[in-house]
Amino acid sequence: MKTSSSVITTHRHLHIYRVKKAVIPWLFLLPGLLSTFVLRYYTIFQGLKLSFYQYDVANPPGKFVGFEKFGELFRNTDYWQAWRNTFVYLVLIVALNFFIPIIQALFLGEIIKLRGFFSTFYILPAVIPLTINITLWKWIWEPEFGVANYLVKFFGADPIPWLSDARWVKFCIIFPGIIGGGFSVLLYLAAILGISEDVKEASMLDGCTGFRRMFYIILPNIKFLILIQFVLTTMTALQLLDLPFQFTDGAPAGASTSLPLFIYHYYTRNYDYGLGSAAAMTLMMIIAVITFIQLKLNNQESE
Amino acid sequence: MCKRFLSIILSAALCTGLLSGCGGSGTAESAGSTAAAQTSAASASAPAAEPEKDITITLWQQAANTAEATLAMQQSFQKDNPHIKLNIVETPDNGTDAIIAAIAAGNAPAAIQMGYPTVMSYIYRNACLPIDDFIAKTPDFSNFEKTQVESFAVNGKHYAVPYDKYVMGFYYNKRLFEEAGVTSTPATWDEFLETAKKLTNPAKQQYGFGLDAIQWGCWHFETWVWGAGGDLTKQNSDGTLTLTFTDPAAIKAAEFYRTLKKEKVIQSDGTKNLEALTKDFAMGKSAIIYDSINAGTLAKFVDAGAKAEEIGYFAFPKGPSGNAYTQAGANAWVLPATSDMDIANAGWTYIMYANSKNELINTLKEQAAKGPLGAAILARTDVKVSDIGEIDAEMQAVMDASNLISKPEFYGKGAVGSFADDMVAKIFGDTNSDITKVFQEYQDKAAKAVEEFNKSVKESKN
Repeated sequence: MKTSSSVITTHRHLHIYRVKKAVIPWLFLLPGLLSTFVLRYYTIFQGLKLSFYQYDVANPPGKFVGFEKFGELFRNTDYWQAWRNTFVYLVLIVALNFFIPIIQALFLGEIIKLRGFFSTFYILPAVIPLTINITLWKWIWEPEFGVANYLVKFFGADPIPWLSDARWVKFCIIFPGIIGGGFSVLLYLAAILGISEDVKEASMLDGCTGFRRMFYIILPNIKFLILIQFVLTTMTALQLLDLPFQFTDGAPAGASTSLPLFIYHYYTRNYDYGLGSAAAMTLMMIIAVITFIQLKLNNQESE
Repeated sequence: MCKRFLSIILSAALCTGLLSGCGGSGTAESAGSTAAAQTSAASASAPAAEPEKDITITLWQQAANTAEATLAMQQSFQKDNPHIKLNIVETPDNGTDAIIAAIAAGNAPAAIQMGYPTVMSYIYRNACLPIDDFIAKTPDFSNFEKTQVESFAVNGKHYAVPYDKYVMGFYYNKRLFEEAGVTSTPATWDEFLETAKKLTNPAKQQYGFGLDAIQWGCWHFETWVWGAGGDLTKQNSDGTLTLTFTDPAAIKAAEFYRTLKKEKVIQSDGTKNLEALTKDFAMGKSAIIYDSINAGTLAKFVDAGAKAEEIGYFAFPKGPSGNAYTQAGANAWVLPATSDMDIANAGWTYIMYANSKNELINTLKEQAAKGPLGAAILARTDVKVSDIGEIDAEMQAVMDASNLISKPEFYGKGAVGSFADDMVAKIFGDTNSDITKVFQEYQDKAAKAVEEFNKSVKESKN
């Protein structure tokens, strides 16, 4: 029979254990939560706040103007041109850079002998720094001596000004991403290789082989990853800044200005932090709505 | 569903956060401290010169700007002003953009060197401290040339200490001219076009003229508008601003830009910015470029690979109006608006020291020891370049000729310059667009900025 003091001690230990169990995970989470709040959410709230001000650098944040900056933004034709460009980028990225890694991974999953070699082959372009890649591609697209026009002329066509041509510039910026699937190929390949062997064998016994196996067995089993990648691709495409900035900085005549680049220009050229922030807020809302629709559609399909 | 939507909003917010937050981060946080500091400096009745307490000031300096004279000046400044410690840091790549962010964040350098267009843009955005109180307490300031000083005055307040005046003109590659059989420099726009045609040789990947239309496009464009007999803006008798983007002369200048492009005598890659065009000229890929005629610009081309002996100069050719004009401006020092009183005082002390007669003579002597001095229009009236050493006669002649036809940039550029830049980039990039329509569109876009500019002009008079 336990004495009352030992019962109290046991209860105390139990209590301490419960408190520790409840508190320790939070202590581990705290640095991450704090840094996320300070470095991410705080800047977002600042951005939201600035969108209601006529920013004054000497007396920040300046004069409160309510929704005036949003009105100014919606009347700005460059803003709408930037949106049109952004959606063209989205379509190009999905068409050129989203589907191809899936196809590459599907075929890689079918081979065994050179799988390691091709995996490295696909990943290598992704580890070359973006700036170097862009510099190389700017030479390729150079109208006078670039390889692209060399090929065009070789086939008897007239040279194209590529990056200086409003009709071609967006394609020229996105196309280099098609070379090598990068990390996406490896992600898809890992998911394919993770499919249960039982499932694969059962499908083969049922006569489901080749392309049918890809469509009816492999793709449905990696659908979750495809969806995540699709959502991420959409978000990344809508926030495209580095590529148009480094390739053309929006030229010619704003034909390659994505909405993030439009925002950046309003911050750094016009110093209109209010209008830039208002544009950033609209971008955030659109990304949220599109992502919501994507997830909703996927759920309906699953049900 | 609400939870999910909220979570999506939050994740989207995280994604866009950096876009919106980076530029503005820290601005509101610094509002209290910097606004208070700015008020104290701006409202100061006079700079406090007597109590010399220890202070460290930060200066942004180009990495390349390590001329012995500059380093020696900074060392002697430290000796003469032991209470002011200099913290020299390298100017960020995006220097002019970064300064606004630094001012907003309260960590701007104590004194900043900038060119005329940037200074005017900063003044318009309240980023510069008025220096009238400092000027009043500095007798040496009377030795600065008045027209240059006045060019940085807005609504009766002065904002900058000029240190040299620049006039714009054309640089050309003598070797390429010789190879193309061109024996004289162009005197009219038509001759300019013909010359550029002769100097264009696709087989050698060589083009006639490096035309900057996409970066600070209106900076060069306005000169062509003047030559066509008009201007981009008008200063009214009461000091207010009226935009004249659709002036027939502006349309004519835009058409000439398109002719240069159509005739393929300019760079084929329309995305090249000024830096890329400078490199092309220095490497002999282009034969002509428009820039400020002075030793500093020549040094920039030589640093980028050009041979000094191959570079020649000519003044702006006459336009359809029968006249030629070129642009003049000045490089200047400013005090950022948010400096506190002690920092502003120390910054002013440094500016006046760096621009003192002795230091200017030392700098020129150092340059003279290396060869003929570049032509220069100094801001100080008590120093003459010709007294120090031999001057590059060819450069001096073109600079003098350009100076005679020079005028300051269009009125109100600080307020509406970015709209004009975009307008020029638009008609240059999209050659199918209707020039008049585009110019009208950008004039409408700038209406709000004009309204605010005119409001500030009227307020300053009341």
